[in-house]
Parts: sequence; C-alpha cells; structure tokens
Amino acid sequence: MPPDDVLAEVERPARYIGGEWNQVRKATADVAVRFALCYPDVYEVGMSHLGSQILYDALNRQPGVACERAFHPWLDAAAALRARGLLLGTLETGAPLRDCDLVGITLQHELTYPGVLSLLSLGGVPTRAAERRAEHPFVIGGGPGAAAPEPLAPFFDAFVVGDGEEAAVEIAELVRRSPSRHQRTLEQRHGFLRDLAQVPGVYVPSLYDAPPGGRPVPRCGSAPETVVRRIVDDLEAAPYPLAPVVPHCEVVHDRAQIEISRGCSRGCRFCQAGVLYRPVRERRLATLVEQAQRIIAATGYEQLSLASLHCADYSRIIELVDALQASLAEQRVAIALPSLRADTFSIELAQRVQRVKKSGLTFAPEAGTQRLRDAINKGVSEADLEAAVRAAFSAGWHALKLYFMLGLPTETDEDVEAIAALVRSVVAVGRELLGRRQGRLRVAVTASSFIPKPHAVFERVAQADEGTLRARGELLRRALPRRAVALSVPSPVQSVVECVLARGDRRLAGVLEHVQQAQRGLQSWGEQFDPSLWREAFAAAGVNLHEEATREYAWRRPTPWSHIDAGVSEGFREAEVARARAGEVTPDCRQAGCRDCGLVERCERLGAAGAPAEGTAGTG
Amino acid sequence: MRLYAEIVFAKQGALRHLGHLDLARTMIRAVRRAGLPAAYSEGFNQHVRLTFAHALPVGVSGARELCAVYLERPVSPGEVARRLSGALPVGLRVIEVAVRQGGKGSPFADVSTAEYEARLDGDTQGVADAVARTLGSDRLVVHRETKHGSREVDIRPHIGRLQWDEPQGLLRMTVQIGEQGAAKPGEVVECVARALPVGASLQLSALHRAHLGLSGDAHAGGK
Repeated sequence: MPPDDVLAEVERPARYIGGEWNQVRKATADVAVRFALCYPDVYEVGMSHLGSQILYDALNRQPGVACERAFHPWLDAAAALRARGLLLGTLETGAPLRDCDLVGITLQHELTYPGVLSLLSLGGVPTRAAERRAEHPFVIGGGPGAAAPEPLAPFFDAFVVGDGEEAAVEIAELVRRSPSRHQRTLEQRHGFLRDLAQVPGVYVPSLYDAPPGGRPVPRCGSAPETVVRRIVDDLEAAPYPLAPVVPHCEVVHDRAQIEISRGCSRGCRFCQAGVLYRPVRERRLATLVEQAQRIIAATGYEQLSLASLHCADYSRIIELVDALQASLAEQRVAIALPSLRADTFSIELAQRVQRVKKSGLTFAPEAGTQRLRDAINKGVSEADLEAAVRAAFSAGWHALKLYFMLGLPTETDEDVEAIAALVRSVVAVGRELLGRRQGRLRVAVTASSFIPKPHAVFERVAQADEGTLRARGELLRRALPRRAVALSVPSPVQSVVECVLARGDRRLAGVLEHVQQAQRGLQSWGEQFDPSLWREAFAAAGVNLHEEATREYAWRRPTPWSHIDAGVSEGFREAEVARARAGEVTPDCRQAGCRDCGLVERCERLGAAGAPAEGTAGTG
Repeated sequence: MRLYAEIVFAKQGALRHLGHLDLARTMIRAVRRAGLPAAYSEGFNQHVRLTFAHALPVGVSGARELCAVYLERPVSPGEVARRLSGALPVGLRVIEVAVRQGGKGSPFADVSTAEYEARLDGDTQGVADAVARTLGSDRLVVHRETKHGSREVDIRPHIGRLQWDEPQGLLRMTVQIGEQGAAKPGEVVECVARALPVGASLQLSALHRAHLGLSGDAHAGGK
C-alpha cells in the first residue's frame, strides 16, 4: 500500500489499498512463485475485466503460487510515486513488480500499450526485455493484443496466445521448477526462455528475427515457426472464480459474472473477437446455476451479468434466465444481459429480466444499408431491426442506443445517408408507439471508425483515410434529425492510431516509448488521448501514419502476425472477403453447417470430448 | 414500528480511506453475505435498507461508528454480531449490536456530538497555550465553501471540550455535528494554529473519531 501521505493527496485512495473481500494473500513461507497480474489501466477498469479474475483464481488455486494484482495508478498517484522514488507494488503484499517472479500484463486494447510501459517503469522493471538482468521478473503478455504482438515485442519476454487459464498455470509451474531469481545466471534466464518457447501457445519474441513489415522467423530450433493459439476445449473442466474479489469502491462493472459461453459463430467479417475466441463453447445450464448461487453467496453482489459475446446465442438461454431468476429471487439479484442482438427474440429475453425498469437498450446494426450489412456479414435485416425496435418501444423502453461503423469496406456516402434514414425511421416508430410519452424518446447513435484488425476476416483491407472518416462523420451529423437524437463520433485519429498499432511491426516500439516518456496521461482515456503527441511519435520513428493505416495487405504475403496461427485459415479469409465484395452472406455454422474455416478438427474434438450435451459446437 | 439492528463498529487501518458511499456499499454486501434477514427497499432495484449516524470523511478512522440495518424479522443481537463479523473485510469490526424498534425517523436523530483525536505535527510546543487562547475566544470565525459560495461561520458555540494531550501529540475535541450547527475538526485545528505565535505552523496528519454521542452525553458540553 502506498504510504499515508500519498494516499492523503490522491483522488479515490480506496483503489490503492487492497484488502478487499476475497482477496487472496498467501504467507511468504508458502510462496515459491509470485505472479503479479497487471492491468495497464486504472483499478476501476481492470477490476471489471473477467479474464483477469479467471487468471487470478486459476493461479491462486496452485499451491506455492501467489497471484497478486497491480493496476496503473491514476495520474496523481503515478506522479506522487515518481516524485518520492517509490515503486508500484501489488495490492496484496505491496511487493514491487521488480521483486516478483512473473509479471503478467493483459493487452485488451492498443491504446493501453503506452500504459504497459509506464506500468513496468513504475514497478522498477526495465521496459526493454534486453535490458533485464538475471534477477528481473519474466514479463508475459496475454489477451487479444498477444495475437499480433510485434509493436510490443521488445518489451516482453513472452506472450501467451489464446485462452490463458491453462497456459498461465503451466508457466508458473515451469518457473517454480527452474532456479529462483536470485540464484540464476543471465544464461539460465535465457535458457528458461528457450524452455518457455516449447509451451504450446507461447511466443518468445527474442528468439525470432523480425524483418520490417514481414513475418518473424525463429533464430533457433527451440522456437516454433508458428505459434498456435491455445484453446480450452472443455469449459466445464476449466477453473472459474466462485469467490471473486469484491472491490470496496465502485468499478465499471460492479457485479457478479458467470461466463455462459466463450466464442461466437456469427462470423461478422470485421470482428476480431469472433476469430480469437472460436470455437463456441458453452457451460452447462446446471453448472451455471450452481456457479451463480455460489458467487452471490460469496460476494453479496446485487447484480449478476451473463458474460458471453452474445447472450441470446446460448442454446438454452430462456431456460437459463428463468432458472437463474427462480434460484436467486430470494436474494433479490437482478440479472443483466450485456450483449443483445437487434431481434425480437432478444427483446423478449430482455423483458423477462427487466420486469419494471426500462433503462437503455443497445442495438448494433453496424451499417445503414442491407447491402453493406450483407457485405460485413452482420446478419440483421431491416425487418429484424424494425420488429426489434417496435417490440422494445411497445414493451416500454424509451431510450435506445444504436451502434454503427463508418469507413467499412465498400462503404459509400449513400450507406452513411442510409444510417440517418434508419435512425429517422426508429424515431418515427418511437413517436408512434410511445404516444403521449414521446417526449421521453431518446436515440443515442454512436458511429465509430472501422479498424481492420489482425486475424479478423477483414485483417488485410485498407482503413478509410482520416479525411474520409471525418467527412462521413460530418455527413452523418448533417443528415441526422436533431430532436430526440444524440450523435457521438469517436475521434477518427484515435482509430487510425489503433489500426497502425494493431497491424504494426517492431518499429512501433519506438513510437510507444516516445508516447510513454512524454507522460501525458493515460492514452486509453478518451479525453487524455493526445493526437499531436502520437503524430510526433510516429514522425520521430519514421512511420507514416496515413500510409500504414490505408495500406491494403496483399493475400499470401507475410504480415507481422503471420507466425501467429489463430486457427482460421487464410483461404477462408480470402474467400470471405470475396463474398463480402460480392455482397454474399455466410450463415452461422452452428445453424447452417460447417464452413470449413480451418478449425474443423478442434470443433470435432470438442463435439467428441464432452461439449455440453445440450450445447452445440461451431465456429462461424 | 420498524425493527433494526443498531451496529456499533470500528473503521480503521487501510479501510479508513473508504469514502462514505464506498463504506455503505461494503456494508450492504457484508450484510448480504452474512445472510441477515435484512429489510429491502421496494421497487426495481431492491437494496438492503441501512443508514449511518454520520458520514465519516475519506481518510478518517472511527472507533465507535453507528449503523442501523433494518430487519424483516427478529434476530438476536449475538447472531447479528457473529454473522456480520464473519462477513466484514479486515478494517471493519463489529463492537456491539443491539436490536431495537424505532419510529419513522432516523434512529440516530439524537446523535449530535462527535469526539475527535487530531494528530498534530509541526510547531507543537505552543499548542497548550494556543488551545487556552482558542477556548477563551468569544468568536472563532472560519470560511466555509458551500454550493452557494464561501461564507463565514462562527464555530465557537459548537466546540465543547478541547484538550491538548502533549505526550500523545493528540488534540482531543468534542464538537457539535449535524444540522443545528457544527464545527469541523479541521476548522478547530485551523483556529488553534491561528492562536500560535507568528510564524509557527501546524499540520493535521491524522484524524480519528473516537465517539459519536447524544447532546446529553457526559462526553459533550464540558467547556
């Protein structure tokens, strides 16, 4: 815990004190491996991340392993630590990151990358892996960013690609069996990294040569040419936190969570998560109901959220919701469905859990015309959407949020005008159905920029240039009705930076260092994102932001993430892009049969190896 | 009549950094984990009904804070204490519990004084004299920032006991709290600092609330 004089001068000191209910603190004598699990953003964001809670639990189940948490301090606390020469430590024991055996950092979002560097530097760990000495911790990255990790490669000793709950335990075990921090030589440290590279799903970047813009190739025999994404076949057997840490202070998602399924088989062509979490795996209904009861009893939470990429796609979702409501009614637990689709089925589902209060409901049609929705394979028709909107207003909702993307491949001004037309029709339906209550009608429209991300079907397409993105945003603003409609258009520069970082190579490490060293805030926080700083940093590294973002990557040519095999084949992607250009949709494989995306063997294994009898396997 | 458990509790250690809303959230979840037969509010977002006597500011520890948890059915004080103690994080501790019947108003409407211990650093050698001068003043005017701007308040009538515990380095005070008028510990320290010789300064390095009392309590009023 930071000293009292620091806590006395910072905002919301409760986020730095630890000691929350269900925190795990092991006695030093019992600890052979101290694993600092870090989130490169503030406590309130990091404590809302389900993946971190899963890893915390999985690691702490291991005897001899102590998993402790660290978060990026807010600016005032970061400055106070620096000014006093204090190091950032874990919440559990205050151990500086420098003194831990492993430092694990989750990479959820490109704009947190500068935060990764400042987290390490605040914790006393040299940011460049090459500068770490024998006794320094191993720094391991995970999460979606680890599937295209080159911009961060110089800062990490290793990355884990894919599901982390099994791999993290294997890595901790490997560390436990190797010479301890203070006993090993630098040569032994390097030897350990060569051993680590043998663990399936692990990428040790220092063992690869990375030509600019090209595919990294192993420099020694102990590193695999291709790193294959880890997939937990059986969620039923995987550990899940039944007594998660309960924050003292309010965090972004301040509630209990059960993970009903992992993966999504809809196959939206812009979506990275749809590829990185394939195939779809479901937990059994009975397991989920039991887990929910135990989590509520162990935490006292008032709300339970059903985590998944799409709640309504869970095969027995109605039964599940009814069973959860029945079993938790006495504890007065409200059920939240964070991800719904724009169809009437989802509205019926939402109605089941929201009997009284009609807070906002969110739909993501993504595009304004049927042509473009087909091109991106967003399986929502105009009729679905209208029926969903009608159902929502009839059921009593009066506030809707609609998400769209600007700059999608093949988009024209016409598609953008169609967004406005669609919003107008939503408003008209609202006025008609709300009648005398139409004064309360609110339609919040968010139009963010499309970002081609590695491993998504659209990974190689060009991003629309900043000028076009800006113009389309303006076009939308002019075309939208003003009454009852609020438009939000996140900064296009921010998405251009994200795009370049997402697809970048090791040259971008210098950009991240430049931004971090300027210490101008947490770039993942919208209001702190500093476009001029980023432009300056890209210019200094000799990287042309505009050219990199708008570059179309040719098929069958290596990319900086070609050595990472996420499971979906290049042939499938190429065929899908061709279908996109032709305006053809590809139906969900769980309904329409296998589309041969490349993961068929995993699906078959899953089907054979006890995927829930009631569930279905499938990839997209 | 409404049934409630009156819980006297301590908030100390790292948990003194919890703000009032965070304390309430933590207490509500502890009550739920303890499985107490708490009464819930009506409406969509049903929540445990509880109330505190007086908010404790961020950073301030408390030895005998007061919280009332409304109950749906009777339960013994011992049972409440046992179950709640097993559900509170380190830093929150049950001191004693009483189960009472109350009327419509707040069970703590009569709580009107607070006893604080302020740890002082700086030029403390003159504090004993400064305390005497402070108590001898007829008026002690401080500035208070409110939603409607800054205004001047005379806090002298709201200061009861004021005592410098030299060996401990603690300024002990009993002040009035609540709507009828109040003196804040920081303001009292400010007044004492003003009564020091020119050039001397004081810092309030830690604050602790030792007791919350009724106006008729023996603790209060002894000028």
